[in-house]
Amino acid sequence: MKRKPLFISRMSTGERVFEFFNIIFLGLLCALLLYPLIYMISVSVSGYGKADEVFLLPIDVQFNAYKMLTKIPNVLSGYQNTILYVFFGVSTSMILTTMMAYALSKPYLIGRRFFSLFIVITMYFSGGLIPSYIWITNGLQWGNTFWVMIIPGAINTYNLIVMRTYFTSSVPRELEEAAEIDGAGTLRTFWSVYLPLSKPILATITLFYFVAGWNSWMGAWLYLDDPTKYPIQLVLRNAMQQSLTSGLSGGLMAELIQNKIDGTSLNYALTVCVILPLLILVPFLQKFFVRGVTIGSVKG
Amino acid sequence: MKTPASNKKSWKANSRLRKSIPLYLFMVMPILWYILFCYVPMFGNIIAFKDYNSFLGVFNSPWLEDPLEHFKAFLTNKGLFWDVVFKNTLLVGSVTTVITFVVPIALALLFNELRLERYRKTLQTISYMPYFVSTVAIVNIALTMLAQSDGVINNLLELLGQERIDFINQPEWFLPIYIILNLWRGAGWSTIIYTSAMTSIDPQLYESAELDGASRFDRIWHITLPGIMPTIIIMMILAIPGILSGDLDMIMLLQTPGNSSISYTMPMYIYDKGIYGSHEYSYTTAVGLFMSVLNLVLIWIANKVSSKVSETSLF
Repeated sequence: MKRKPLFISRMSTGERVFEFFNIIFLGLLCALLLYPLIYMISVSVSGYGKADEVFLLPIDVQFNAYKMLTKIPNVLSGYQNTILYVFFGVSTSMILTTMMAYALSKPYLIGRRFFSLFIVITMYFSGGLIPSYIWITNGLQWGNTFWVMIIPGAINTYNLIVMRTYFTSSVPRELEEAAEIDGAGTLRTFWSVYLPLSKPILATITLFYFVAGWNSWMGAWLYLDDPTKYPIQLVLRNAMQQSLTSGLSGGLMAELIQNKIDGTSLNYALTVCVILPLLILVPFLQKFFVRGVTIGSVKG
Repeated sequence: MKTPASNKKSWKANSRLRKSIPLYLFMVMPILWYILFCYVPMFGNIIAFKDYNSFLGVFNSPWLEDPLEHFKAFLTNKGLFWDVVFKNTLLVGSVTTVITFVVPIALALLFNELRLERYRKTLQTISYMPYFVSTVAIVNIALTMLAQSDGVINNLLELLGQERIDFINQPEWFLPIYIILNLWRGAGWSTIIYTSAMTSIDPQLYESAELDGASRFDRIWHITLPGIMPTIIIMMILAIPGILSGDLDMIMLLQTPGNSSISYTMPMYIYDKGIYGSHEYSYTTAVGLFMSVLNLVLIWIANKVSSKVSETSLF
């Protein structure tokens, strides 16, 4: 990327003032964006009775809240469930999305326009909450099943179109023709030519599905009744709704007091555990996300 | 008798078909998925014109004598439907959509003016981070920080000699909180698309403008902004549905009895009447269908206008 040349010497006073304030303003803004996250971590590791006094840094650092988390009902199972749902969900999503995107990327596919329209329509007009709900619970009878967390949300049409755009624009046509001359069939071309060349977009879309899957709670909340099947987001949501401590048994409650843990610290410790896996990934995987968004902006 | 030309043609069509067949095999599962989870529910909208009974199912439930009965019911329901639900949806949706649309553009312009490359990259990375925090966690963090008795924001207010505020139960605080949380999550993330559009502007334009003595603000106004205009327009069309749909996600988590006079919006209403409370499936389907159609019209108009005005359009 070529940046504009620096002509500091030619800047007028007004521009210099602007430059200065811009640097300060954006710095402060980003500090403000980070503040809630830092505050949350600080509270989660602060000592008993100190949670309310924290402004930025932790007071009387202790990690009791984190040790306590494993004893809270549904937290461990919630984590396990989320990992299971995300693993199988993302795999299903990737298989379905890649197959459809590949088929639609081929200009020789008979009925290509029809099938493209078939999927694009669903972006603008959907069944709506109630008909979907009735169909899944009453029609398919999928309420409270493992499948309901994997299949209904499997394809994101936006992701599919991003992937199709990549297949059409970023893999050279000549390679496909060369593979064909060498006698490779459609499946072979897909597997040995397209997939290896499309690693960046596959990584990007996998990440998009991963983030969406990790963060979702609505589907679980609508369709699951059994708390042992809840993903971690729903466990956190329920904890928030009734404050984590009120749902605890007397024994656990006593342990909480004995271990000198604030309810707020416990709540924030859980929140940290829920969001940290993704936040750690961001700086490393940033370029993949950025690429996905950028391809998506190209008119499909 | 076949001429060689037609022979060749039919061979070509044949090979096209032969090459398409494996692709159809690829498409079987995804198409089945689209039918099951998009088109069947779409078809399920017919219960808006029926008296849905869960024992009889979508097909066997009886049609209404007046097919538009449910539509008439909410269209004439001035008190709850228009004055509360529709008004709230429009208010929350339009204010939020406008603000969350404009702020990222301004932010991207400011980022673009930062000459300290490393500093800029670090700041932008920080600004993306909240996008990965789940809605549940965002609301959880916010509610704790805003708590009246011990939240850090109220502690700060007290330190400054102000009254403590019960943010989460006050209707007038709902919209600011909702917008700030949306900005916190999405503003940085949304700059990506504009930033990448800015990098594709020809640097020579800036150089020649500089030689012509254009000031920095002139350059932003006459080069950067027009350069990203097509992106802005596409993003605007994409943002339009937000005006009427609103997200159930965050609003549901933020809603309390105290603030419901403003936070009670369309998705909440549909959820409340359809799933949570009285199971008025047909009625709520009618409401949902009405909103979908309204949304479609809105997108269509936006697309039409933008293709007339700027020759940029979505479809």
